[in-house]
Amino acid sequence: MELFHMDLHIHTVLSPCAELDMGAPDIIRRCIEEHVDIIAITDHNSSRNSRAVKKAAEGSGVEVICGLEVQSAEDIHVLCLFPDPERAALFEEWVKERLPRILNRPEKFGDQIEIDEKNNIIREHEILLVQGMNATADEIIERAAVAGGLSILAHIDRPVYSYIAVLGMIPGDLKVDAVELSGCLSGDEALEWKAKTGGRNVIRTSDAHRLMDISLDRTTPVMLERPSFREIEMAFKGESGRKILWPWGDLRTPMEIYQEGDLPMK
Amino acid sequence: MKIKDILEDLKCVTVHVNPERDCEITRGFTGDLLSFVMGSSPDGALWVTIQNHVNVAAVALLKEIPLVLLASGRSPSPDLREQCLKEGIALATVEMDSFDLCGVLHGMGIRNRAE
Repeated sequence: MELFHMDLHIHTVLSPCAELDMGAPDIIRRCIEEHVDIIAITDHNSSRNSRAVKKAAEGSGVEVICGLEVQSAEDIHVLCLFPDPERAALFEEWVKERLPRILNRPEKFGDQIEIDEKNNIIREHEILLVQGMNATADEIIERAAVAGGLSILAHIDRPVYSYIAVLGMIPGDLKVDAVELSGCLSGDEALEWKAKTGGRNVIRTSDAHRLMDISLDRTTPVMLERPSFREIEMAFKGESGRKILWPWGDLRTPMEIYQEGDLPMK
Repeated sequence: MKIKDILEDLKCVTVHVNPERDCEITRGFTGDLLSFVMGSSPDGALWVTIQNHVNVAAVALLKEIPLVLLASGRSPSPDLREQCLKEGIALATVEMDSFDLCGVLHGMGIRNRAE
């Protein structure tokens, strides 16, 4: 088993709120510099650019997971990740059919640019991506599982767009694979939020909207055999020694870390 | 005002769960973000919201809210209705939107702050 660092929440130039430096090769270059091994591309309500970033990463050693950050009818953000671009695209169709037909106004909200792996512009996305779709967060989570994906409650520590802010608490029977805490939280703040997760997997991400947001200290350490979607799925389920480690420093004693056969944290 | 009187005086109301015990209500609150409601609602107030998730029942229970009014004609999710029934929380849908509904309730003498 090996230690990897993953960041499962990164935007590209497709998200109107992201900076224009979030191009496909640029994100990969930054990940290599920061020693980030696994990323997920999660633009608002669309997976269109995740394929481009995945292609740009070929041969780089960075593993790219295709996904999207879906906004529910109650304005809750849920990260949905898929094993391949095809399944992400299929899920996106389901989202698209339920998005209000409100057009983007680039001068107000920002550009929504679909790119290829070399940053060539394919087209501008016309429908506004930052709006709630016509399905509840609970329905989105259920649908992602049926579609073979993983779902993660995004930034539950934030005052807006978070499951806890909107719905008060996470129901015990909610079948979500993990919850996300913001990369900017201190260790103590993160521990306070952890208490509200009902023992679920907790990941730390950058929610990067510009290149400089991507950094090793906003990743989640994971023990995997190799960097892949399937291995992350196993880690979320705690299968065969795969596991998610606490991002804000290991809470175990050095002896426990040794006995469980994990490498010391980087 | 008694819950039954409030429900009778409002127009275009569909009652989903009748009050278990008809208590007197003097205070009201409106909000759709449940963590905000948990932090800010007075105890025992009636609550105007468009939020129809099952967690509404949990927040109502926590704040001892005896009556939830779903505004803008919003229907409760089936599990919210079931939970309110179980916990004895009155639940009704009102066709008016939150703004107008709060105006009418204010006219009935319901206030956010105790007088």
